[in-house]
Amino acid sequence: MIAPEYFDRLRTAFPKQDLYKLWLVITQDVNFGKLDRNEIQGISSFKTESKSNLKRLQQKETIVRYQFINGVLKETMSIDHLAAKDLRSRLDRILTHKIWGYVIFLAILLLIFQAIYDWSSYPMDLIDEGTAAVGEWVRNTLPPGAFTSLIAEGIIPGLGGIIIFIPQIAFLFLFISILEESGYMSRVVFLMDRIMRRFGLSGKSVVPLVSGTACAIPAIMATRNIESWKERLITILVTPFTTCSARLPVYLIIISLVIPDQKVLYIFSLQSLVLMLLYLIGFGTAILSAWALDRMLKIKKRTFFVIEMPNYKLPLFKNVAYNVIEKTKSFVFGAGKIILAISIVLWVLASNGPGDNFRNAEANVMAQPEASSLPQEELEKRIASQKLEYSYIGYVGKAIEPVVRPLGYDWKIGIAIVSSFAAREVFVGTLATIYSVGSDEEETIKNRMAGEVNPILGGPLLNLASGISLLLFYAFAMQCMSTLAIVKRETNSWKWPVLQLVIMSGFAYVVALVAYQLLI
Amino acid sequence: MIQNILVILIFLVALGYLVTKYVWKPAFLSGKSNDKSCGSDNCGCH
Repeated sequence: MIAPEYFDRLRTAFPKQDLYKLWLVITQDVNFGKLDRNEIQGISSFKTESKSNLKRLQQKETIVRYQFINGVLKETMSIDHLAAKDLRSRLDRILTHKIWGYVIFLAILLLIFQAIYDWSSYPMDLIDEGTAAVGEWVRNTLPPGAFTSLIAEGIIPGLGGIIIFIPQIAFLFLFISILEESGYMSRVVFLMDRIMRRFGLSGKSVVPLVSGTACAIPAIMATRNIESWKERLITILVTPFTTCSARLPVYLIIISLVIPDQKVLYIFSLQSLVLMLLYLIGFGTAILSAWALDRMLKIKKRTFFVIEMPNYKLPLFKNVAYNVIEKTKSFVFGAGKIILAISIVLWVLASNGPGDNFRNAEANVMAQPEASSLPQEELEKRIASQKLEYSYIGYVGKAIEPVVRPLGYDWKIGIAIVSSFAAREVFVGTLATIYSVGSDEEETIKNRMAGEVNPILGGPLLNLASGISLLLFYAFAMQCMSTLAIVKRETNSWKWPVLQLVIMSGFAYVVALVAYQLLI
Repeated sequence: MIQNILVILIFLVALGYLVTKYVWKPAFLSGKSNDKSCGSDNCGCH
């Protein structure tokens, strides 16, 4: 019996009324407080509970009612799931199986990453070459000057760095939409609850963790349906580890530069397996961090898991197409505005500089003894390189370089890391802009990055060691100001986003450092 | 000359956009949405 003293008083005050009916009147009065009502006179002996106490009693009553219903059902009804022969039950038996459920989920993930890499490579190459051709056309058509250079070397390469990833992002959202629309995603949530519980998370944490593959911001907002505050806080704190679509451009360009384009077992490409591994590393780190946080955070928790299992259905083309278009559009336009602004600022800072070294770059190069024997193309490259080094951005980059040098990066990558703190996808656009400044050739972003030489060790700047180090840095670092803002809003405190920033970025630096020093 | 003026104008607009988005709004406008955030009880989501 819940609150016997309260209900005894209620019974005494209204002896002629049904107790449950009275209870409904009282609780409905809490929920629909704005309705007109007539106060019954002459019951001065009875005073009802406070609103919060009534809410608590209502929750207890609901639990007791369902416990009663479950007890009756247990005694009177038996369900043999194994005997069910309908399609839904058959599919559920396989898709939520203790072993096959996970195997199938892993196989689906593998198919998604294979599609992201192999299928989208053709439209990507077209876009990359198209962007380079547009830049060249602008340079040759518009009258020469600072504005033409800004468009050809700053804006077009910067934007090219983002639109090139449209096919891959569209594929990712296509698969996620199909899984959600078909009803399979709910089975994944159910399946993962078994694992999640052990790590201090709820099965419902899978939804934010899966949505986190698109963007951490809606994913963190999606934690609102987790009932336990502790589970919700842990999910908010670990969700940024999952690989969001903003990391994808960074991963894709680095993988294509440092991982050989080979087949594994004649079917899978090595590059897509590395990409999948990065997704699994992100997910694994999120889970392990949740486990650690569950033990560290001293917050009391009560937890229960309720989920609706929709029927399986064929995904509606209209819904899937709408989802893919909307998500891709918001990625491109959301990131596009920031990238455009950063590309412009970077180009101006890279094309201007203080002091005589920048102004006299051409004369300084020509004064070198070997200058007369160098071909025109090499001379122009040296002048552009000298100008970039003594530009405003060059000085900023040189100031950052001591911090990023132990990780195998040069000052240009350092600048890209700092600017990508605004949003990770800015990284590729930044490098595309920095490498384009002073370049007169029609080159793709990939070729420009592949052509960068390590000034100390020689050879390509992005080799296996520095590439893996950079991949791991981006896998763990908290490089997103918008995510920090949303964590602040959802937790109503600066404590959690600041901790998130310090711990994630510190961890990323250490892992990247260790990886580079081991692989070099 | 015109090209230089255009570059300066575009640079200022871009810089203004970034400062508004990442410095001005988070520093001065973020507090206004706090009342919508989810606390630890009685907000309907716990």
